[in-house]
Amino acid sequence: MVGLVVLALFGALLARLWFLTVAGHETYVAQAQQNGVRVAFTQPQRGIIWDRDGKPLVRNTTTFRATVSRGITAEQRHQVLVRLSDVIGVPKSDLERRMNSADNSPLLAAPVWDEVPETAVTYIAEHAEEFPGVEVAPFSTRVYPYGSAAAHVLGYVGSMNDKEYETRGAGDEPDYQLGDDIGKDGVESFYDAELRGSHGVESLRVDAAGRVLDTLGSQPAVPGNNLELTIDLDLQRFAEQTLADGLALQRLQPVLDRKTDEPLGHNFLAPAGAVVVMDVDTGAILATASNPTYQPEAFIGGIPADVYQQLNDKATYFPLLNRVTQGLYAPGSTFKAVTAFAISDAGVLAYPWEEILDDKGFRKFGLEGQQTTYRNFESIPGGQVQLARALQISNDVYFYDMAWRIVQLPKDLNDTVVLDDMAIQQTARRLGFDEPTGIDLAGERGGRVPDREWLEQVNKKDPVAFPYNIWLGGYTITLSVGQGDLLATPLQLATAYAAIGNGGFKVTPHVVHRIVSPQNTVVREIAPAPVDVGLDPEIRDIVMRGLSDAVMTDDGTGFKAFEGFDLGRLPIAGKTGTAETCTACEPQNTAVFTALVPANDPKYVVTVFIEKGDTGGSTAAPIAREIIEFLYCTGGAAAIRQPDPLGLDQQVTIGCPPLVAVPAAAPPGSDIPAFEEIEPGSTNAGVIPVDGTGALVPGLPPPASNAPGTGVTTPDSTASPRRRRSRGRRPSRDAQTRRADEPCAAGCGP
Amino acid sequence: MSGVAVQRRHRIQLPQPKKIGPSQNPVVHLDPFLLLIPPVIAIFGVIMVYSSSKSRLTSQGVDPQFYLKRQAIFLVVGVILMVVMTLVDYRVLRDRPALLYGIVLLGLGLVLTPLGAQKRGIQAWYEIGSFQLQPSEFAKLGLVLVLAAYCHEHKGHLDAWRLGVTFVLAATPIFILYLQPDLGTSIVLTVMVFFLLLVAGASPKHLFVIALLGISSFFVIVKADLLADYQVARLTTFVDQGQPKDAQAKSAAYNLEQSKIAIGAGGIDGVGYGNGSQTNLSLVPEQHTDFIFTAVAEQFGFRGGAVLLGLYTVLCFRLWRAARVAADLFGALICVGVMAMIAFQVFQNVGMTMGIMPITGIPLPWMSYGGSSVIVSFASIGIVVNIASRRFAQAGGTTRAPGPSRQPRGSPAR
Repeated sequence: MVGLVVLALFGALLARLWFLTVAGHETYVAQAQQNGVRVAFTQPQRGIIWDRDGKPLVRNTTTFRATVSRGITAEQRHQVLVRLSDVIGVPKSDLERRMNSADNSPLLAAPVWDEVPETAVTYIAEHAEEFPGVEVAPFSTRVYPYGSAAAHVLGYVGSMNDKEYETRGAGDEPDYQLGDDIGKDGVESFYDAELRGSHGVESLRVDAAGRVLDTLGSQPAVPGNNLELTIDLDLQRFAEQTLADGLALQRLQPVLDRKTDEPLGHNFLAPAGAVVVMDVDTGAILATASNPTYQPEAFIGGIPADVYQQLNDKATYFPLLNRVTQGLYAPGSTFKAVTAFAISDAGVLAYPWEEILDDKGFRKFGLEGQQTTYRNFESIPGGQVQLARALQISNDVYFYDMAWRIVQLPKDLNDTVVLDDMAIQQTARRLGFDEPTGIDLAGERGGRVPDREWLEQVNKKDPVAFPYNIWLGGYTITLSVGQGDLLATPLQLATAYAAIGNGGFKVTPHVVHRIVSPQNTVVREIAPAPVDVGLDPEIRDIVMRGLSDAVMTDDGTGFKAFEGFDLGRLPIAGKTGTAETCTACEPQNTAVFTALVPANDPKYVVTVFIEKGDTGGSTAAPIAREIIEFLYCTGGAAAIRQPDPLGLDQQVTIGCPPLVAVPAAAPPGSDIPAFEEIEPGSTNAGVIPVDGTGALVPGLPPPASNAPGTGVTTPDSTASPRRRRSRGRRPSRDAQTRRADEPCAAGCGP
Repeated sequence: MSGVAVQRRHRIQLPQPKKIGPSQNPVVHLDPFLLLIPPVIAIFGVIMVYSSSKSRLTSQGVDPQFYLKRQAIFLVVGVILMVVMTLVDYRVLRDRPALLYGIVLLGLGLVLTPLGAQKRGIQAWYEIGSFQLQPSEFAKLGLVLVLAAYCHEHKGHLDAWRLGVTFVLAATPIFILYLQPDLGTSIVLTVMVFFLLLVAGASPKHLFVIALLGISSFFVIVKADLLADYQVARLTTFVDQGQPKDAQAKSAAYNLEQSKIAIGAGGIDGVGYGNGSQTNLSLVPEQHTDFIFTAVAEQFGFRGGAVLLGLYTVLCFRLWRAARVAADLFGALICVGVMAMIAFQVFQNVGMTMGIMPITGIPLPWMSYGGSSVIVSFASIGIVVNIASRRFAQAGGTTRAPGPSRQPRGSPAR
């Protein structure tokens, strides 16, 4: 009996052995062959990002990253972390924090440290059995040689989270693997497909412990393409510093009561601001600053949740927010230039558009008995005003009156509008408001141009916040001076002014000049074609005159900020804006200034927004002035700042070094004084050659004989044209890029 | 003690030189199968231990012959011990069952104190120099001897009371093993005791009750979370192969999956000694110990595996024969216990590698790397050879001889 039992047991074993070795042989052989093979993806080098002169704003460095397998027990993990902390020389808590970082993929080995020193790498490799589940592999990280410079343009890089992974086809695209780094903001995000390159694939024979025995086949990783930005690093850094200083300075100014001018006992908040410098013809952005800013470095190797929270917090005014493309502001009086074209489009002002209004400082509109009074800023009477004058002194009543005319355009019996009482909105949209400009940065916002449909829509959606659904005339009146429900990004305003400056072409702003392959060939040039939006050239002349007068005449709103500036040789047109964020509260306004330089044939638009500042003329314009000085001055004096913004009181306006005047004939028919062609050294886009008559000839390379006109030249003409230009015109670039806290020694400026 | 026994044997044998019948000289009756099969398996084991450990050791930068050399030492020690056990009259072992039992309990108990060493969470070893002694292996043989002696003393009359005593005798070491925790060995002991009592003459009714108790207590243990997670995982992996639920189950399922792949990849003839990706890539965990059979099947295929199983089968039948021809109940029960021990270990171990038994850490006798197991297995065979060779020897040999030889109830003859 027992013998039978034993026979049965052994018979069962034999049968099972037969079943596995003979019947299942092919399946198991196939599995065995697959078993020791692992497909590994090698990370490609991410593309480098240069500024327009080839200075690297972001590059890569290779570090060793240690990961711990998720397959080991908690006790093993504890022991491994203790040993790793010992070998790497960092506290275990740091390793744990890195390991628990929110953007680690739950499916992959958890990264515990990104910068394992080489001695530790060797030690871990030699003592593999002490570190079960630990893998140390080279790993490429971003390096930001200039710290936070252009942070909002560059954006940052981080591990793809699960949601992002799914939107990228959940790995259908082989170039997106779980745990990959992807660009999360700025150009890193917008051009992620270009920058990332493609994975290398290696098929490896490994043993059970994951040790690689040999390589069966491999396909190398293809590095990503590099980006050459339109940004000029020096101008960029200067703009950031100037904006930061301007904000700091504004925070020292006491807020005065609107009526009595008595101090209210506290200073302006001035928590944030934005600056953009753009080429009006191409839309190339030379500099764009948004303050407060952040260090993209903080995102390397996973950002701790609390730090991320800080960058996204109301209390810190959202440093991650790029206010140039995402900040929504009422543009205030700067919008009047847009209204100017609208009143011509609507036909409420007749040729030759010089109708004079008498402004007493306020005007009443509406039916008898239920009139509303609209006032000038601080109710100052403007006197005899026509269009250019209204822009020059930023007269509100003139535009109220014109808006009222638009409101009163004939309507039919059913109160249906037959003519364009939405003329301002239409013109605004033509100039790029109400929709994203299309800049190559992630997350741009489109702003808002309020009109009848919009009002009906929001009333339906949220009747509490928007109780009325009838478009009232008053809405058009407040819109005409850039207030009310109008919201625009600084970039939209700059784009609108660029169109005014270039004679009616809406450009697509862009920060990337071209995409360059790792082999140094140009893959693609970013040159979006400007769109003709059809601005009336005669109104444009009047508007430009008004804007020039606003800066260059002593009763212009922007004049004070440009006191001492050699406007005779570099005429500047500009418009101030002081948007009241609320009527009842204390006078802390959105201060705006946007300038077109040079005024006679604008090349650049410089737009400055300051939140909770004083007026556009007093808060924003000085910042724009400094940037313009830096943009055009061949010397470097303007770049050298004292370390302490508190000590800047007397130094805010640093005069441009005297320019060498070259007699040039005034363009015929222009009342704008002629000026010498000063070539902005920072940009090759800024080449403005002069023909025999002194007229501007765009698009031709500068004649060599023009160089002496700038008063500076360098002998190193053998360098590449771009290089030569950038060095030749900015001889003291080194002085300018010197650290800000270095006092200006003798000779740092010309 | 053994010296005394030898003297007595001679005194007993000398007065009857002319007795007709089989020779009383035990050397004449040595069973060549029992003597040769274990060393053959053990030599094969040494060879397989080498092939399944060399690549892992090489990649760790250790001497690839580390396990080979040690297993060879165990083989030599084991064979010597087998010879010694063959020569000394087995009946000396039945004299002091209480002492033997005390040693077993002491050995098992002390290992739980700081005197014992821990490895992978199991407190089951004594560190002696660079070697580890596993008392649970010795306990297997010890318990067989104690129970055989107890049953022998009562001439196989196992009423409910005595059955209760044997139950306590067996349950105590099993419980200590459970504390280590060594689930595998405690299962081996349980099966062994069960067989032994069945043969010793316990009433089937009582055994049925004990079996019922055992099975229900097993479920209580599992349900009441008295087992470690990994133990439950191993058991459930066996039940639902292919759908691991958590990390523990995944690890157990991985073992089983790799093991089955290795065996299946062998085919009929195997891939040849020293070849085999599963073996050389160290994909099968614990391959030189518990999963040694996968190395045999991968490298020598169905044929190799079948030959090995055949050797074990022949061995078991020779053990069974030894039980049937044993001169006394003590010897017969030892043979039964050893046979149950070997047969169950082979079935459990090989069955586990092929997914028809749950994963427990039970070594394959003589094949698996491990000194204690090899040495105890050899010693057990030595005792059985001893018993079989003395089947014609006069009963007695000790002062507590049970009188005239008689077939016990439930003896293998029935």
